[in-house]
Amino acid sequence: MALNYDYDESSETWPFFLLTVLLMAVLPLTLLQLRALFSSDSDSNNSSSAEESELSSLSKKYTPPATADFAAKFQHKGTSVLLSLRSLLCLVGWLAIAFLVQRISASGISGSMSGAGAFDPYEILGISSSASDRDIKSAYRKLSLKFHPDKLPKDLTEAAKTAMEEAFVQISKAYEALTDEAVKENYLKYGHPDGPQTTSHGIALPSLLIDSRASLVLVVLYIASFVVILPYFVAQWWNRSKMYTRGGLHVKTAARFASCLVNYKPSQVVTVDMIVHWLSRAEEFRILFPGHEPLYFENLLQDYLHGRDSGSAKENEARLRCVAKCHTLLHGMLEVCCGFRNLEIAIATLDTFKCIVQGVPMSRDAQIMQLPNVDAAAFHEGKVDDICTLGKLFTYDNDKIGKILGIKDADKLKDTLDVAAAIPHLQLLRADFVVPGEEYVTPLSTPYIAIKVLVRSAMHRVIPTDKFPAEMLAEPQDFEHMKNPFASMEKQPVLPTSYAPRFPVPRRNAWMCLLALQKDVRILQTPYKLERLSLANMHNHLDKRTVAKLGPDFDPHQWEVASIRMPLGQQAPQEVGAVHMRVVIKATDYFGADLDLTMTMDVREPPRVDEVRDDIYADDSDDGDDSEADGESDDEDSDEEYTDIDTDTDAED
Amino acid sequence: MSLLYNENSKKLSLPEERIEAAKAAGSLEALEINLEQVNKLAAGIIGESNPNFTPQPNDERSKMIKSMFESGLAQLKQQKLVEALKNITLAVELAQRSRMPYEAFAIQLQEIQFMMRHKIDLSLLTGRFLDALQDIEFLMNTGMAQSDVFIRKADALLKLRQYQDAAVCCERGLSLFPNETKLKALMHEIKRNLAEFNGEN
Repeated sequence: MALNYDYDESSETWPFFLLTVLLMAVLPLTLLQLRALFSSDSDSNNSSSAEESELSSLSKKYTPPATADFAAKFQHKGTSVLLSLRSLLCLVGWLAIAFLVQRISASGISGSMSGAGAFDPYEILGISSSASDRDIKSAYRKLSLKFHPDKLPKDLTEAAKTAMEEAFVQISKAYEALTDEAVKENYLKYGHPDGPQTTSHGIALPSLLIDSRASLVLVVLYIASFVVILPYFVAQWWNRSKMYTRGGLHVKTAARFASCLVNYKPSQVVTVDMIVHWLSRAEEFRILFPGHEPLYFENLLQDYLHGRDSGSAKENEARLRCVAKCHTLLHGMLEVCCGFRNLEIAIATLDTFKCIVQGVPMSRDAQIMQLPNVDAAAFHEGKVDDICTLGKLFTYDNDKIGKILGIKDADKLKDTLDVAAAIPHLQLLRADFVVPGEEYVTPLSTPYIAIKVLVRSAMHRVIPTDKFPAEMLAEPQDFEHMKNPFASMEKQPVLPTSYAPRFPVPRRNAWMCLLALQKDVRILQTPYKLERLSLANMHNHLDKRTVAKLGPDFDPHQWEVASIRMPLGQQAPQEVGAVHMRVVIKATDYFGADLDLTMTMDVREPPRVDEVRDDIYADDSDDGDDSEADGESDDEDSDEEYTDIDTDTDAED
Repeated sequence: MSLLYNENSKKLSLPEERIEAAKAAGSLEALEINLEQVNKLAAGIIGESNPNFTPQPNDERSKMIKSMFESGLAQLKQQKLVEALKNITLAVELAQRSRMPYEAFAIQLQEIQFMMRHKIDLSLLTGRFLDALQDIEFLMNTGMAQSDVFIRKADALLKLRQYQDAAVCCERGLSLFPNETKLKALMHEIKRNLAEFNGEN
């Protein structure tokens, strides 16, 4: 083994070194870029598919021009994968690789290198590698007759003579390598009949970098990369990963939200305005627009909600950027609320979510105000009945609705009605706590919540639960379902893009499911986010104005009963009895699409099978003792409140 | 952080520049509340002449509050609802203002809960549902979770036409007191109204 390191004096090997380094960087980058390209393609395919509801096109139609400009500006940035800096880097990298490959092949280094150390006795003797000993011998004899120094013709030049002599040495070596035991072992072990060959270890740097002056620069670069550059990048990465929570919330924002909840006085009335006030303290806004106080952001958000002009075009754009950020902030706020187990504020947060998405202030008739073309003044003036809900609105015929909402243009009215009819409402059919494989909830079992809902339009006549046969409302009993009751939820289609023209980013609705104990109205677990639900029922015809009563011809199988299955973060209590829970299912995007229900978990003793067990396991008296001992120790634990929150449960996954 | 102490009034206050800074940081409100609490407690203790006092409710004040409250009840008997409400409200305010924070809290709480319930009933009778609702919330926050509180809250919400909230309140009441017939009847009424409100009948 050579102990001295050679530098690449003849500039032969550094292109190889550089090629490897380049490929290491460029190849993964290219793959990433390609993946980004294809995934963005499939995204655009998704949104352009026929599945997309008419709501999204209406949403686009009613988007204010300023918001549309804003969205176009920021979306363009996101989607041009082909023209990004990364692609440029990829291109440069590949050009450099091409240049290096060309240089290497032109200099012919690779050929000479591969041929240098190779020794193939069969090739030298001109025989195939499967030749027998006799063939080897005869080939050697033939060649040695030709190349033996004694048999060489006299008229050869000196150079030709030495070449012939060298060839003879090679031939003899090849012969020995194949016949002599010791030499053959050398050949097999080291690849050469003379034993181990010298190998040179070097540093693949071109010689010009090793010259006295350049070497100093190199050393400085070397030290800098370890002392400055590497720690800098590690620190950057560490800071960034520490700066944001798992939900994408800035840690300072999370801390401020938490402090808001800590300092929240129960005497304070929880309103959307209060949540907006809290939101305005987010660090994200300050990062976007440094030098502004929370009050500035609060005013921007309030201006947006009330459809006021914020002053200048610049401020209107700032307002849209803040609004777009609210999605993450509100989800973060919800998480914090659930951490503090405060249901009231969590509900207000989700109300704020709707307000922000629709760009409408919270009011009693927000359901109506979220529709396009509604003339608020005319609506409030001409109010005869107490119309605050879409369901109530659809008890009137279309012309009357036009008058109520102050819409004169027939096309506009059609759009308004289309939006109103396409907003999905949830009608509760049945809600149960289910333990897979059990008929009812037993102490310390692990139930999940199964809620059967009918997704319907506000225009549809209400279908009473008893119209549906029991099997449509029952949980499936097959083994696959019992193994993972939540798997079938994943098969539902993703909810389509929402009608949210004022929100600067295309949105998809989601239902956040909160679970609280009725005893103290405290949240039990992290919110469950429902993003997949079939909206097939929305196209069914059951207009409550034309269908006065559900007749005998009503076919429940035309309707799809949706299941919302929610994992429960903890076991059923040990004591037998009823536990009342409140389930709040709130849409993030639409007013009026919510569900609020009380569920009772009736914990009962499992059926008694003790006698049967005694017969079968008569010998296992040890087991019986164990279970008794367990029972006693559990009794001590049972003093614990059932309300202990299980923060480990990640219901969102 | 510096505070100003007024030797005459024995009160703490924020210096001007602190007010500005706190306003900018959005923490002025919290600071002011803290200072107010400290000042109130200090004033209560400074005003106490007996150095070895035990925190019993002040008899004189109890008497005042009680007499005010009883005059309200007397007016209630004469069917003078508005006057009765006025007097009871005054009694509640008196209790809130004149009681010292260190006086036995359990007694104070009972007193205020008792008066509040009468006040709520009177508010409901005189049609001041929003006031009543606010007081019920207060009562619930003091840990009062009895069926009649739920009945009153659901009723107030129903009168305020907040049917959804009324249903939520009623359901909670029913899950805590499943056999309360009044709540059941109320629930029925709320459901009917809610269906009408949502155009579902």
